[in-house]
Amino acid sequence: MFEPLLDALPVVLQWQNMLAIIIGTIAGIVIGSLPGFTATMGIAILIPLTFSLEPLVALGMMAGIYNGAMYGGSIPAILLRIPGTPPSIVTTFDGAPMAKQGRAGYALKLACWSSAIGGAVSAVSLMLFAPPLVTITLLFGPAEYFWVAVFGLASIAVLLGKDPIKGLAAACFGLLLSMVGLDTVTGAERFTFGSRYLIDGLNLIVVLTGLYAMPPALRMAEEAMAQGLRSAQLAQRSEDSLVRTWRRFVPTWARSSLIGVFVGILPGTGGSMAAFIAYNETRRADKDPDSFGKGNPKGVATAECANNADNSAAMIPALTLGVPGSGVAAVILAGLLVHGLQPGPQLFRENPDVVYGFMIQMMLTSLFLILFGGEFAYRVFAQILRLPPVLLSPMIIVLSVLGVYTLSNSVFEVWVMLAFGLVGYTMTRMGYPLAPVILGLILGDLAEQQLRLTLMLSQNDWGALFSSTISLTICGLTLLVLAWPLARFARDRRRSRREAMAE
Amino acid sequence: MSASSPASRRAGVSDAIVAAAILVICLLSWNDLEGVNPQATQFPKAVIFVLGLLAVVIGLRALLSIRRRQAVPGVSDAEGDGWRFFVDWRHFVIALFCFAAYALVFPYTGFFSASVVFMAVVTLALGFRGYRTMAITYLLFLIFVYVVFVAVFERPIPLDPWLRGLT
Repeated sequence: MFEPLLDALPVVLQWQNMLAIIIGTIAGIVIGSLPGFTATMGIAILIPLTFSLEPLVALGMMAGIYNGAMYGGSIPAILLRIPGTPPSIVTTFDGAPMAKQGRAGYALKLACWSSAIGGAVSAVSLMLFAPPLVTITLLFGPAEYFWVAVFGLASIAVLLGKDPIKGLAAACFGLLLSMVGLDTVTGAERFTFGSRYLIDGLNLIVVLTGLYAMPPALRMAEEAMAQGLRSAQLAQRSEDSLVRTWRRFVPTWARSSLIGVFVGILPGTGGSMAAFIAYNETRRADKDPDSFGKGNPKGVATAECANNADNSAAMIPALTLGVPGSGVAAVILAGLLVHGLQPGPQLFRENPDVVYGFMIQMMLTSLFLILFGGEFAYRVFAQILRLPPVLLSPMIIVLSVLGVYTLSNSVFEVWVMLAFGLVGYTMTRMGYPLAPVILGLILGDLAEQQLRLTLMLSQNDWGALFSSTISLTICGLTLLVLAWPLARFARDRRRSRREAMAE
Repeated sequence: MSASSPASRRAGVSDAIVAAAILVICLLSWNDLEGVNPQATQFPKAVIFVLGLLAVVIGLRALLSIRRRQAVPGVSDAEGDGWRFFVDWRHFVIALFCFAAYALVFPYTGFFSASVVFMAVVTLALGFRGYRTMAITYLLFLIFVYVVFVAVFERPIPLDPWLRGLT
């Protein structure tokens, strides 16, 4: 089991890969520390740049950005009470009060160590669970793969956003986008509307950059904040010592890591949910639950540990089934596809250096957080918060244009990106989640091809979709996921009725 | 703020408009599949049907919520509080217009000249007046872009005439 990992280790330790990991981690911390920037956006901008790179170098950068950004989000969460990334909302609960008490440096160090531990445990879970899971997928036929695609889409669509109906609409929109261009079986043109530019279909990276990079850039331009942070806002006072106090965080780290890993494996959940659940559990288990929210260091430790423990775990279904566990994992999956790497058993068989190398990179980037996080991050990266946000907006646009243009030297792609930027902006403002669109675009082709193959093999017998136990199980899980919001709605209604009657 | 406040109404109306737009997309897409080999239209038509259905649900829900809010004044709606589609539509238009102009121009003038002008114009148009900060930030940024994209990765960028001698 460990042999492929040991084989991949020398490749990962090559200087190009190590440099990519370091650059990625630093870039990730910077991206995460800027409010409004997310790991997803950072990776989306990065992917076009990695075309000419070896897949493992590109993946090293993505791994660095992923883990780095998840930690980086804690810097403004602690110093300013502004979550740098969505999962770091939970870090603000106790991180900001700690900063107010003059313990910002301690909170940042604790966040850094907790992130590193959570990330490392998550990387170990990826190494342990992905290889056995991928052998199970060898039992899958076209019908099973069709249901896997439907299950992945349904769970991301229903569980990721606040509104399941809007999530499902976003997933259907993504599926439609995946069908633009020539149909590979019949050669028929679909949704090209007579444009020769659309015959080859929509470029995943162009859509990705438009949806993820443009909306925050436009938002920053709208807000046009001409003042960055003043140095006084970044001041810190007395320090505690993590060397003396680390032992009391061990149970918190253990509990939060396990919760993070478990939540990460479930499709459509993500770091925010992991952090919230872990925070509640830690508070429930603590002797002094009332101290949470008032600057309890365990609050910071649990939030950061859980949201980083989600990272590699979310890649388990992505690498084995092609169904990502979170929005960021969906974008990394897109990065794999761009480099011609198809998730599943084939990836593990034909590119073991890449897939096992990526697992080691996830581990290394977690450990590098200790080097580049904490006090160092505070002294160096937090200073970026002094840059006026109004200057960042045009820089994001320029980088995005450059990345998209260099894909195929086509200005048309830049216009497509702008169009998707506007779509993404509207979707974000109207509460439609973006990740299902990307997942629909990625999984649409798989779902359609496998459905066709199933029907072809069974001579148009739709019953073939339900003929195996695995198909029925995945279909049942899909129905459960789809029924979940209805059950929640019924429960809330019953509760409010009961409350109304009690009053 | 009451539920029938302009903000909550705006959110409901915007939801209904987006639902209508989705329905239009569905109709156009369905129409585009007419005359195409039926084997290639089976899956897309199923997806369009589901999307259309979801759009109808979203639209009806939005219209019902608007009606309910009008019928029951004084019921609070936290989600609708202060909701606006644009934070500042003027800034949005400025950024979008500059972006469009930049996309039109940069393949002809060269990437770096167009980028300098684009970034400076957008920043100034949005009201920023820290000239020195702006100059230093953008200069460092463009050096970074040149080193990464041109010198290291050799990506095909439309280079400015004055830069061609350097590469």
